[in-house]
Amino acid sequence: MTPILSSQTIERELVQACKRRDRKAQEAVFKRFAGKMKAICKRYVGVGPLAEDVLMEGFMKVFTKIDLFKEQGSFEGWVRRIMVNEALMALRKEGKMKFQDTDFGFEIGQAEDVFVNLHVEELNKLIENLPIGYKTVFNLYAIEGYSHQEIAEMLGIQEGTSKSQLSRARGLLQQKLNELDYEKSIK
Amino acid sequence: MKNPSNKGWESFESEWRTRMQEDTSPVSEGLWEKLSARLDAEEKPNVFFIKTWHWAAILAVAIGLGWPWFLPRKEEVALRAKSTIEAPSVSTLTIQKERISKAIPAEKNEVTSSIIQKSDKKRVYILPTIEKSVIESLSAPTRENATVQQNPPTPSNLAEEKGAEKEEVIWVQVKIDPVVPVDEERPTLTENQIQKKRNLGQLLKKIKQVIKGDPGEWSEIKENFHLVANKYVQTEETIKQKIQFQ
Repeated sequence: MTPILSSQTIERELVQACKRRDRKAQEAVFKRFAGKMKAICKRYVGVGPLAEDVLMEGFMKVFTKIDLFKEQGSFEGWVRRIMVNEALMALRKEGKMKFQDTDFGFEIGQAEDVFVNLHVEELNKLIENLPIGYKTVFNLYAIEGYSHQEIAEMLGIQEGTSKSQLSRARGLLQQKLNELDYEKSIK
Repeated sequence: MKNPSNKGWESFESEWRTRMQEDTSPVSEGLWEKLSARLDAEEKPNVFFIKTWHWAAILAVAIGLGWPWFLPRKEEVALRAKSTIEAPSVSTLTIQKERISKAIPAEKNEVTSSIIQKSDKKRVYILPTIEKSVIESLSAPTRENATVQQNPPTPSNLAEEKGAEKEEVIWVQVKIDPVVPVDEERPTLTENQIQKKRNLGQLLKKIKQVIKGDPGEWSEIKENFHLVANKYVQTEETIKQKIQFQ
């Protein structure tokens, strides 16, 4: 009878094998996480070839620096952090990292129930159309769960800037959601 | 205090976060192959190192072990030391007034100190000069312990000065050589070696006797051990002394 191994055990063994530079294990890790990581890269750098470049660079770092992973936290979380950092680096390299001070004048109202019913694809589309600064901060704060202090350190900005960017991102999202809701109601 | 609208956003964002964690995007085919090729290229130097490191280690150990073979052997050192002892020695200082060209042959290997004394100002200059090296001087060193010369030929850099001032310059050339008293009878290294061998032979003889069944006297063996050890120490010290003198 084949013993049923837990997901964590498999992951641990894969990590051990990757540390031994086992190509098969590396392939297994790549296949296990590539889809999820590509989605993260797309959220930061947008759809296009850059997302795959970031993914590639990210995995190169994962496999070459795997000895630094101490196996105390989740391996997936570690890989995610590498991907996010790689995406931010790519944005900086491309000179796209700009933080708009423009206040669109949208009031941040109470979040409505319509938000909960949003599909992931719809939400992704909404986020993708945000200005780069808003998008980056929103992704880091709302999706990845970083604090404003961490975001400020990662992006090299003031904590206040991070907060204002998030607030504006929320306002813009709300306005777009209202528009979407209105369009849906017309249909 | 948190803004109530923010609180609503936080809960929605938390919900989105959970959903986004599982979000995936299709990866283009052949991406793994590209990545694998890059990983191969990255790891190549390491593979070379892994393949060759043990050869490098063997080579390092071989050099480490073989190093004593490159050093001069004890016999050679002893012979050199002996030749130094047997060289004629001068027990007294000789001060001679002659030209420097006569005192120092052109091809002598000596480190000398020149003292220039000006007659009027009574100042003394000590100018160390290192002359051309000649290997023969090592095997047959001169035994002039000190030579004081008056009015030697002026070095080129002092020629103008001398010409201008027309001063009397006294050159003192000091050659330092080991002063070995002739009368003192020192056991030579070869004698030491003979004695050492003799002691070692005796010791081996005693040990053989013990092995054959004759218990013999352990104290004698112990004494012999000490003798051999002492001789070794003495020999080493003598060699060191000779090298220092050289």
